[in-house]
Amino acid sequence: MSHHSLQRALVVALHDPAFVAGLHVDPETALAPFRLEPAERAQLLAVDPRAFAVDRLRPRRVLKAIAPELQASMAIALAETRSFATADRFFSSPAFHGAILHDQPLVLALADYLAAAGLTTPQLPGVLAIERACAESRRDAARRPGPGLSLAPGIRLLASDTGALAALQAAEQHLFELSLLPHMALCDDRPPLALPPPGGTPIYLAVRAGELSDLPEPLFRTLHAIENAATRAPVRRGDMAAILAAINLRVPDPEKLAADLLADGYLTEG
Amino acid sequence: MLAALPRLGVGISAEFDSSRRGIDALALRAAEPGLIDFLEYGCDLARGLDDHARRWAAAGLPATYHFLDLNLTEPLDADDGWLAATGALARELGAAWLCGDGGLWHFGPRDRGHETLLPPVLTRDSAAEMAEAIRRVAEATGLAVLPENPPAPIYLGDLHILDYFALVAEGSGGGLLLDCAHLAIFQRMMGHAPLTGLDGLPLDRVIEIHVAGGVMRDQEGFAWVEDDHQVEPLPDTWEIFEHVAARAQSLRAVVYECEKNPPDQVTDNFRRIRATLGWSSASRASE
Repeated sequence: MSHHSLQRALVVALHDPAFVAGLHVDPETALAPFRLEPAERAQLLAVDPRAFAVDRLRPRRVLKAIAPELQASMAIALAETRSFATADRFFSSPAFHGAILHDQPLVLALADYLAAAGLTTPQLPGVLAIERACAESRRDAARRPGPGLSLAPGIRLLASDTGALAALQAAEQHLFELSLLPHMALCDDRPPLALPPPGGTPIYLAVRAGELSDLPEPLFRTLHAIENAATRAPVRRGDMAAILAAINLRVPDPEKLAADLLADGYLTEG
Repeated sequence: MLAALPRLGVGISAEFDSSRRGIDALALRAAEPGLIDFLEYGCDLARGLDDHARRWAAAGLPATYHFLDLNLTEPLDADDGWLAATGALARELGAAWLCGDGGLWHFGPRDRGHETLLPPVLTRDSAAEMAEAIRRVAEATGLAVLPENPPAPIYLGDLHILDYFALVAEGSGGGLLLDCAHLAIFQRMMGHAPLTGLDGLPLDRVIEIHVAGGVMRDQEGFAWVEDDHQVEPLPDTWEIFEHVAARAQSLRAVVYECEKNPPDQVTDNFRRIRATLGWSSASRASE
């Protein structure tokens, strides 16, 4: 119903001063994505622009709610730009507007924003991939699985490297130390964020309800192959031999492997 | 369902961890016998009951549960998981009913800690959806659900907020929670007198009333009211409360939302509320 579109436009206006400014300069363009009725457009345009800004901390509260799941990535991003405007600009980004328009999780929108922000710190992509996988995993936990064998709800697979994991841990440790005395943020001699070098040894991660664990490479490859196969058609236990053969893995009893992966909670069978 | 609801009397609000810095309702009750009868506890499922609410429940005292994580304007937001967990939490608290602002507590999927309250767009379609959501929650939890008129600096839609909630009550067949402070905010923001539109609200559906402090603010010359729950309600809030209290024949509960303040600063307003209602703790117990 149309009032939901008006509600979405209001949400964007309450968080994005640039949108409010555009609303009065070029309302056609600013409001085009919301497809409002003429009367709804008129209602929104009739609002005193100052009213959108009365709660100046509203965007900060949203960031406070969503940033903890991407805390290392945010730390790396802000350490690079040394400007909080980097965080504030999230609300003017296509990622935020798109999330509001399409009812998507804001955490994932923030991850998309950081990924597209043109940042150059080499550790950021790896750290962001890990934190994003954790965020996706938490939101996937309640998924109702489809027919056949598939990754269990809440499981995400991620190929990464030891450098990304170390950078994630370094950023988290840095934030912990700052949190001991937030007054440090006021000081020019506050400790800098020191990240270990990027790269390192490949590692294969499974994220289960937001928790990371290391997987042997063959197991990672197996789960990945099942995940891919399940996107094409329901996977039966009898399909396991072919799936394993396609990735050049040989196991004595593929169906028993499937049973073991089900028992370990990596797979589900619908 | 409404006729069977108990009269809870005069209550105090609490939110997760609010008693650590604000008012401990059990301590206030002990220090000022007859001042408060029940606790209205507000939280989301991510946080659940705090020690304060558990102690209140353990004492066997009356309570209501105010959810802070349901978009009551979106019937599907009350998914099976939320319904089951909220029903269980309310039972653990011993809640006589559920209530919550009729609006949006989150954007997109429910997530941790959003709590960014927005009012509904005030249209007939939206009111019909809220009524459907209320019926759904009430049916699943077995508890009455009282929608509350929310505060905001901006309201969109073609209806007066009281006409909107009159439609919600008609569609849900249920009761209403009238927040007098929030209504005072709406009336000021829309340029209405405090009592405008109350003749269109079915006052016999008003089961609960909220009274709370607010303060006038200025944003670059734009005057607005912040619903800050400080001690002193605006004069408009008192005017609305006194008008409605005298006419709401089904009224069962009044909450003074003051949990963040020093206890000694709120007692006079509790007494003023009691005097207006003519409700004493003793008379409540005898009913």
